[in-house]
Amino acid sequence: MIEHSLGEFEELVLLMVAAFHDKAYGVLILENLEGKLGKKVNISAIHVALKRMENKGFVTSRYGGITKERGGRRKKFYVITALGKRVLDNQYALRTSIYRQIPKISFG
Amino acid sequence: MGPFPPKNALKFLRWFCREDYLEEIEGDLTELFEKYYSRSPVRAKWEFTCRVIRYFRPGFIKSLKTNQQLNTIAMFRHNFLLTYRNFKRHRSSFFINLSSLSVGLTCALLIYLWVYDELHVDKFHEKNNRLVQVLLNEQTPNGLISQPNTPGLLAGSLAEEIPEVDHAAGVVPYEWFEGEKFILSGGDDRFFTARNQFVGKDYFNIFSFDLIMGDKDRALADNNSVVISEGLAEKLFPGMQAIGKSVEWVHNVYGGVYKVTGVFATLPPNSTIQFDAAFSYGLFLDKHDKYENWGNQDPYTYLTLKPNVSIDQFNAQIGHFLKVRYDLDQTLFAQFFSERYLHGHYENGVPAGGRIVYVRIFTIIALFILIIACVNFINMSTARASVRMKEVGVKKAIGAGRNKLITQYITESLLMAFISLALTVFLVLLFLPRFSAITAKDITLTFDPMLVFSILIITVLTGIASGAYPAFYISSFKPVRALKGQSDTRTGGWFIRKALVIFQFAISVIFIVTVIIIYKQVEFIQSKNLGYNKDNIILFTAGVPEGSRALGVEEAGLSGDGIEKFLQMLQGTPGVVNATNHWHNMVRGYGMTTGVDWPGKDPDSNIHFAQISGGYDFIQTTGIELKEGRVYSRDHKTDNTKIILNEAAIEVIGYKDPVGKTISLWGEEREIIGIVKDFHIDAFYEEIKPVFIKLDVNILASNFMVRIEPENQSATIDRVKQAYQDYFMNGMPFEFKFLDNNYQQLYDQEIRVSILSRYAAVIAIFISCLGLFGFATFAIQRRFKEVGIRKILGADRLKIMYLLSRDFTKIVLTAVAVSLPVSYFITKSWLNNFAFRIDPEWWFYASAGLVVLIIAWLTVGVQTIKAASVNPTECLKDE
Repeated sequence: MIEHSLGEFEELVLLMVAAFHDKAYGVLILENLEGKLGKKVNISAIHVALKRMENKGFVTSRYGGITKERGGRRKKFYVITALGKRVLDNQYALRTSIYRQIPKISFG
Repeated sequence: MGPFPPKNALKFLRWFCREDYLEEIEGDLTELFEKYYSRSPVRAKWEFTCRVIRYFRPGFIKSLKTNQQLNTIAMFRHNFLLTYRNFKRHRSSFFINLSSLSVGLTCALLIYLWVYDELHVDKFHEKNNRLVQVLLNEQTPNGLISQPNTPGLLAGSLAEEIPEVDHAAGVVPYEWFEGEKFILSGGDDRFFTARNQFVGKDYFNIFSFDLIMGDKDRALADNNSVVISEGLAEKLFPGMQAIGKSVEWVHNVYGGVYKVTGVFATLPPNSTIQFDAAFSYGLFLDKHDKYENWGNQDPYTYLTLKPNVSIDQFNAQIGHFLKVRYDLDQTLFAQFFSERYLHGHYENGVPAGGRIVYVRIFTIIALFILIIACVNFINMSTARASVRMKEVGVKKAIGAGRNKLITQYITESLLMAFISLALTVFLVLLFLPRFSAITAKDITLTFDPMLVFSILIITVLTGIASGAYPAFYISSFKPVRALKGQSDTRTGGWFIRKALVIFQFAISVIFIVTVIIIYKQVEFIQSKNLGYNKDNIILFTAGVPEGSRALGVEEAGLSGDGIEKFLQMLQGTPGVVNATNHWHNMVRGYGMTTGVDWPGKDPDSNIHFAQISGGYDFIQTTGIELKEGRVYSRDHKTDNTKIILNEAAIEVIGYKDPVGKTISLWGEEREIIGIVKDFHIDAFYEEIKPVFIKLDVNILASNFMVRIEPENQSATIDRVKQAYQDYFMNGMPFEFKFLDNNYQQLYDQEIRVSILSRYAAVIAIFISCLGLFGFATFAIQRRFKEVGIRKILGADRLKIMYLLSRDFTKIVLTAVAVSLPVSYFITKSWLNNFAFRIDPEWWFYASAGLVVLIIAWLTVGVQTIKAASVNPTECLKDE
C-alpha cells in the first residue's frame, strides 16, 4: 500500500486538482488553497506534491498552449487519474465512517 | 514589455533545475511574479528569488548522470579525435611541442627529485618534531657568532635542571677530530679504520638509529662499552655474533679494550650524521678533565623536548642559562635538528639561509625552464590559430559555446603534456645516473604515491598553463569574421607572441651570463694563488708503532722522537720533496682562540686568532712564503717557545718591526721569529684571518703531510706506503688523501652549481631555439607570397634574407637589452658572497648576448635561406 499512501498536504492538492478538473495548474492551486486555508502556502511545496503524486500515478499532466502571460511559458495542467480518484474516495469513505462512529459529545 | 523577474535568480534556476520541470516552474514563478509586481516591484523580486532558492532541493536538481554524461563523453571523444588529427597534420609543430615540453618536464622532474630529497634529509627521526640541537651565541666584534660547540657538561645539566627536557646527550662527533683516523681491531692483528664518536647514554633514545642488537637504554651506560655499525661488525667479526665481543681501539688517548654492547643498522643515506662506532661520552669526559670548566666548549648537545613543549618555550628557558649559572657572556638557543641541514647558516645569532638557498634557486630554475617550454606551446598554438579560425567559426556557428571550445583546447594541451610525460619518464630514467653523480646523491625514481601525485599535478598544471592562453584567445574569435577569414592576429596575438619570445630569450641570456660568471669564479678559486702550494701534497695519519700498543696513555702512540724518526724515513724516500707533521691542516681545519695578548691590546677586544700547529718543515712543505725573519728550525732548540705570524695578524697587533718582539699566547710570552705572507685557510667567502703558526712536535700533531714530486706519483706513494708499513705495526691500513682534493671539497657546492647551471642554460637555449624555429617557420610561410612578389620585382636573395631576419633580430636584441641589467644584478649579488671574487667584465655580458643572437640567427637562418631561394612561380602559381 506504500505507493497508495497519501499525505495530508498531498490530499489537499489532489482535491484541488479534482475540483478544477482539467484546469488545475500550479498557481491556480496555490491561490485557491491559500484562499481556503487562509494562510500562505509555498509554490514549491505544491510542485513537490504534484510531482510525487504524478510518480505515484494519482495525476497526469499535459502542457497547455503558449500565451503572452508567464513570459511565454506554457502552463502545465494536471488531471486526476482513476487511481487518484479511487484513493480520494477511499480516504473520504474511511474518514466518514470513522466520523460516524463518534458518539454525541457535548462540551457544555 | 512587462516586468522581468530578477535575472540572476532565473539563471540560477536554469542552471540547477531539471529540464523537464523547468518550463512549468519558471512559468508558475513568473506568473506569481507578474501578479505581485503591480503591488510592490521590489518585494516581488525578492520573493521570486526566495522561491527559486526553495526549489534548490533533491527532487528538482538536475541529476549528474543521465544523458548529460553521454554528451560529455562524446565531446571528449570528439576532442581527442581532433587533437589526434591536428597532431598528425602539423607534425613539425607537434614534435617541437613534444620535445620542448618533455625536455622542460624532465628538467623540472629531476630538480623536483633533488629538492624532494634535500627536504627529507634528517627528517626520518621518530621524534623529529621535538629533536633539537642546542647552539651557542658569542659576541664578537663582527656581531653574534653561532656555533654548535657547547660546554661539555651542558647536556647533563640541562637534562637535570630543565623539566621540559625529555632526553639529552652530549656528542663529540667524528668530524671534531680533524680527520684523524681511528683504528680498531677485533683481534688477530687485523686493523680497520672507523669513524668513531662519543655519545651520551641516551643517544639512541634521541636519534632513531635502529639497534639491531642491544638495549638502547643501557647500551652506553658503561665507559668501556661501544656500539658499532653492522658494517663494522661484519668487518671486525666476520660471520660471528658481535655482541659481547671485545674491540681494541689503538689510540694514544682513548686506547683500550671495549666491549660491544650494541649493533646498529646501516645509517640511511639521508642522515647527515654518519659514524661507525659510538663510544661512551663519559669516557671522553674522563680523558679530558678540562671540560669540568664550562668555558671549554667543544661537544655538541642534542636533546628531545617533552611532548607538547614548544621550542620557543624552551628557548626562553635556556637563553641565559650560561650567564645565570656560570657567568659566561654567551647565550644558548635551540634549533630543530632537522632544520640545520637546510638552515645551517647563521647571521647575528639567528638562522639565516644555508643550503635552502640552493634549493630555492633550483626550484626557480626548474620553474623558468618549464615556463619557457610552456611558452613554446603557447606560441605555436596562437600562431596556428589563424589556420584553425575556420574550424572555430563553424563550431561557433552551429552552437558551440565558448566553454566547449576552451575545454577542447585545454584537452589538447593536457594530452600534449601527458604524451610528453611518457617521454619524460624515459628521459629521467636515462639521465638519472648522471644527475645523481653531479649532485652526489643517490636519487632514484620510486613510484611512491606522494611523488606520483606531485608529478601528475605538475603535468596537469603544465598542460593548463600552456593551453589556457591559446584556448581563450582562439575561442574569442567572432564567428562571422572567423568564417570570412579576417583575423586580428597582427595586433593582439602578434604582440603577445613577440613578448613571449622576448621573455624566453631574456631568460636564456640571464642563464648564460650566470653560467659564465659562475664558471669564471670557480676557475678563479681554483687557480688563484692561495699563498701556498696545494698541489702534489698527500696527507695521512700516523699509525701505531710496534710495541707501544698496550702501554699507558702518555707513552702510547708516537712520541716526539717517534715522529722525528718517521719523518727522517720519509725525507729519505726517493720522490719525496719534503715532509712534515701537523695537527691542523690547510683547509678549514684550524683552531680559533682569543688567547693572544700584546701590549696595547684593547682589553674589551674579543678578536679571534686562527691557530695552526705544525712540525719543523711545515712552512716549507706547504710552500707558505716567508716575508721576514726565519722559519722554525731544528738548529734552534727553543723554537717551540717562539711564534710565527701572518701579515693579517701583524696588522691587527700593530707592531712596526715585529720580528724579535713578543706577544703572549695563553699567558705565555713568545718571541716572534718570522712573518709569513697571508694565505687562504678558508673558502673565498671569508676574509683572511689573523693566523699564528705554532711549532708542535708532540703526539697531538701526529698527522703527516708529504710533498712529492709531480712525476711518478704512484711509485712515490707506494714507497711512502712501504715506509709507513715498515715503521708502524703490521696490518695498519695506509689511507691517504691529496690536499688539493680537500681543497676542492670546500667548493663542492659551487662546483656542483656550476655544472648544473651549465646544463640548465643549455636546456633553456635549446627550448627557446625550438620555439623560435617553430615561430620562424610559421611566420616565413605566411610571407611566402610577399617573397615571391618581391623577387619578381627584382629583390635579390640577400635583401630578402635581411627582410625576413630583421624581425627576429629585433626580438632577440630586445631580449638581450631587457636581460642584461637583470643578469648584472643577479650575478653581482652572488659574487658579493665572496670576499675574494672576480670583477665581472663587460664582455661577459656582451658575449652572452652575442651567443644568443648567433644561435637565434642560425635557428632562423635555414628557414630564411629556404624562403629567399624559393622560385617565385611556385609560390604565386595558385593565385
